[in-house]
Amino acid sequence: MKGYILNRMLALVPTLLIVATIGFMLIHLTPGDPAAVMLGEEATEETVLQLREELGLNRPVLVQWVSWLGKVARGDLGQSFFLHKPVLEAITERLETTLLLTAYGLAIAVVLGVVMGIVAAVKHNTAVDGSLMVVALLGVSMPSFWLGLNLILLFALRWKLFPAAMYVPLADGLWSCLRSLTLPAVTLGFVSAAPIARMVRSSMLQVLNEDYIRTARAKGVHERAVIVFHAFRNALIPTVTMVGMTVGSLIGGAMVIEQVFALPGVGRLVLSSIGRRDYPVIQGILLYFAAIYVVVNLVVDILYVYLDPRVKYM
Amino acid sequence: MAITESADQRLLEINELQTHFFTDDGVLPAVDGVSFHIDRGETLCVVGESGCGKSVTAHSIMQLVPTPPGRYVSGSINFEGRNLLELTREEMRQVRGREIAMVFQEPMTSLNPVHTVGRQIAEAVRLHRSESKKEALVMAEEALRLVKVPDPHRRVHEFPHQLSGGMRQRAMIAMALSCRPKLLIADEPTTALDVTVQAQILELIRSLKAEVGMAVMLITHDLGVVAEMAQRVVVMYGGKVAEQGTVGEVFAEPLHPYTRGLLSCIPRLDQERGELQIISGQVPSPLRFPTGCRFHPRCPEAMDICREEPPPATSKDGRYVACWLYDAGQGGGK
Amino acid sequence: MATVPAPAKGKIRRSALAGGLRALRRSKMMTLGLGIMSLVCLVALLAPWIATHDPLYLDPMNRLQAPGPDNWLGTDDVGRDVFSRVVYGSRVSLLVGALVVLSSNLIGTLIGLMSGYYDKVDKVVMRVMDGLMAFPTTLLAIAMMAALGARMSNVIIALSIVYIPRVARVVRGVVLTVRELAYVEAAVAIGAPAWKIMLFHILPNCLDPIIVQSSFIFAQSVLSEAALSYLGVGIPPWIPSWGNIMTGGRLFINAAPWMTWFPGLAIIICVLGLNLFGDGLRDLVDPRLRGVL
Repeated sequence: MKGYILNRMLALVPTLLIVATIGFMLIHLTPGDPAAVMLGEEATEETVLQLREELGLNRPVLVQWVSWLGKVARGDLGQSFFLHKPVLEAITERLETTLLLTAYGLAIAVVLGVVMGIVAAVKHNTAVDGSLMVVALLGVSMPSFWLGLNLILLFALRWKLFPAAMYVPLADGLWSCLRSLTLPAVTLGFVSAAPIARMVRSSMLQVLNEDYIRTARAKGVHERAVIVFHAFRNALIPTVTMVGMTVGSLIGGAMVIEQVFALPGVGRLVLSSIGRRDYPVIQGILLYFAAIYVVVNLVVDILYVYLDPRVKYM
Repeated sequence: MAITESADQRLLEINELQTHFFTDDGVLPAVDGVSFHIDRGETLCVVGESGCGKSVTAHSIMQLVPTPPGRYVSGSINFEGRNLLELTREEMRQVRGREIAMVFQEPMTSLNPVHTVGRQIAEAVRLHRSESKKEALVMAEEALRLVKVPDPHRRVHEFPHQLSGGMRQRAMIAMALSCRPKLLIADEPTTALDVTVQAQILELIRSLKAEVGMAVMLITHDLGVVAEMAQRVVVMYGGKVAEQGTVGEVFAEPLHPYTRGLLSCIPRLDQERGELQIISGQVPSPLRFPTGCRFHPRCPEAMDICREEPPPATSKDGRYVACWLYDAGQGGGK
Repeated sequence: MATVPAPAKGKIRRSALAGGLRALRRSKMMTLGLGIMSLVCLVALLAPWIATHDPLYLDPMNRLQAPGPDNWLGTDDVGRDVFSRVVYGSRVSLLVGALVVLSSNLIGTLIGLMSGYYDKVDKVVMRVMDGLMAFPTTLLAIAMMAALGARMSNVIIALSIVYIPRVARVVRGVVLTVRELAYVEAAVAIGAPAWKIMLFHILPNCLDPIIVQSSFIFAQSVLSEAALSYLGVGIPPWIPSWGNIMTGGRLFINAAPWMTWFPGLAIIICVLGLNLFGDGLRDLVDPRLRGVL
């Protein structure tokens, strides 16, 4: 098993290489001269040339690429053009909000999605199943920011139950921090729960038809145990894979929701950097979160082997 | 008198059981008025072709029929005097595994792939006897030893996919017997296995039966198995019982034309060479059972009334047959 | 890694579309989805006739009006008629969605076919595809839009790049299973050229999952484009799109919630139709795909 984990970690290297390369290519996607674009129309030729020197854009592309890879490997994601500080520092300053929001949203999504899916499967073909699936279908079809805006309208402005746009940092207390993140997390969580619910339901329906479920019942196992210990334990396998994918959409979703709820997170940094043409920051954030996502998927892969004894990990 | 005696001896008594399936395409009367009984400690074989309702009957006893399309329409299943169909879900759950256990046809898919074999057997043990996890696992290992699985200490910690079909079926039997049930229902337990393994499994069931002192209801389509294993036999066709009796009686003197057909299909070494016997026609679909006697389109002795009216049952001293040939009013007799 | 299950019984699966109308009759979901989509398409096509006002006409005197007889869905913060903007917005969503589906399918299928058929290509190409899929989709799209600039053509390019790897992976999965089948071996044995084998034997098997997935890609594109436009990095503000209509809505969510409600509802209806169609089609074609597509 340990060998397998090591193997998978080694396999990460080429993936991370390609990820870093794609990230590197981003700045070169810009039509025209990135330095000129960054400085805007007012810039003089001198300042543009100076920036090009600073960013190393005058070197051959291959050299740039290798130097970029080297930097990234050392954890140097470049320097923010606008903020005059390392990109990594800019990110970590705002990381707390985004990570908390993503984690909170993930928790809600998983719990809500799994419960909905199991209940719908157990109450297959009844009104409960039907209505849960309609809700899930709506969740999958809904823009998260629309839901967020409506939740603000309802819970923060009209009914004054939750704060609208006041993020409380963790340092000021766990409960108030979580409370300030509740509306955005619920928004994210609901929209992400929907595809999980659909998959859990279809997985469960498949599993509940298997022969070993009949065997469990024939043994006299409690129906509750049949559903959780026997059925869901099997449906868990594809569910875990799906939850891994959900983290990806949650990361992106968090950035959007941060804008809706005016939260001081990395999403806000990305969007303001776009306005300021601060490409190094955008590149850095892209890479940073891609790396997180890659690690998450590694964990999912390892978990998969642990959950399904039939998989040979040789 | 005879009644109280047999009432004590009777472990399971099925009376006019009707289990129908209500589907979009119509109603399937899979089990349509089936009656028979099993005495303590005896082996009863239920025999018939695919689709005759023998499996559904067994599932009905355990109430494992999926009840959205299926429904226990009428009749009773009396186990030690209690009608199982009238029990609450919790009461029935207690019967399953502890009083009546069941082994199924497909060992390859009947065990949960994500839990070890030992854990699944131990689960059965812990459900019906309050043992700790550790003790239950030890008992699981014992159970595997009982069913002659080699190296049970290792096997207990293995997963189903690591075991062969024969071993999985043994594990299933171990699971079923772990709580010493009074009745074991085995639904074609060897059909999916190699011939050599078949013999081993049947022998295992026979020896365990003696050890545990349980009754066995063995469902099969193989008359050879019936001859080997059973004291009494029930022949089913089209959701109904065609004939019943001890194995000796039925094999020596089959009454129902269907039983006769079944027996004559088996080629014998001392027979003259010629064409093999068959029963003409095909098993009818439960959606469209023939009117009157369900066997009449294929019956070499069909009479006019067979087409119109379902035959009445004639029984005497435990011998039973549902055929117009034996109806006193029709001039037939035993 | 989830793979598409092999075609039943080793035969070429008759494309669900060959069953056409019969398929519709068998699946209520599909019919409903198709009906909704037809409605949306109709609105998009007939926009100039359905819209009550010029969607770009500014009327500051009339700003933030609630829905009423003059402005069926109200006006926004600079007095533009929301109804007309929503109607015209349908054109953007449908156009972007359709073009994204088209280009990602074309390129993705090509990549998937090559990758599945030629092992050497597979090793290199799938690494790159996996690399692309390692990025969270919205973030990748935002970053690409930042580099390329906020224009409709760039939205299409960015979203296509996001979805190409997914199409490629599904197609590759089908190719891997199909190429082991007997009739493909036979074709190779008689010396049929690779392109013929791919076109006539392998591709037909890919059609069903491709079409089902296209429905979902379309749906995701509409949602992604809306998010990008909402954030201001998608469709530029002078072209009304459901997403950028809501950009202004945020500040006025309390005073004029209709600015947010109606474009959002339009998105929900459109995406719902697409998802219903995709669900219905997938269940009809092969319910086993439920975990994969």
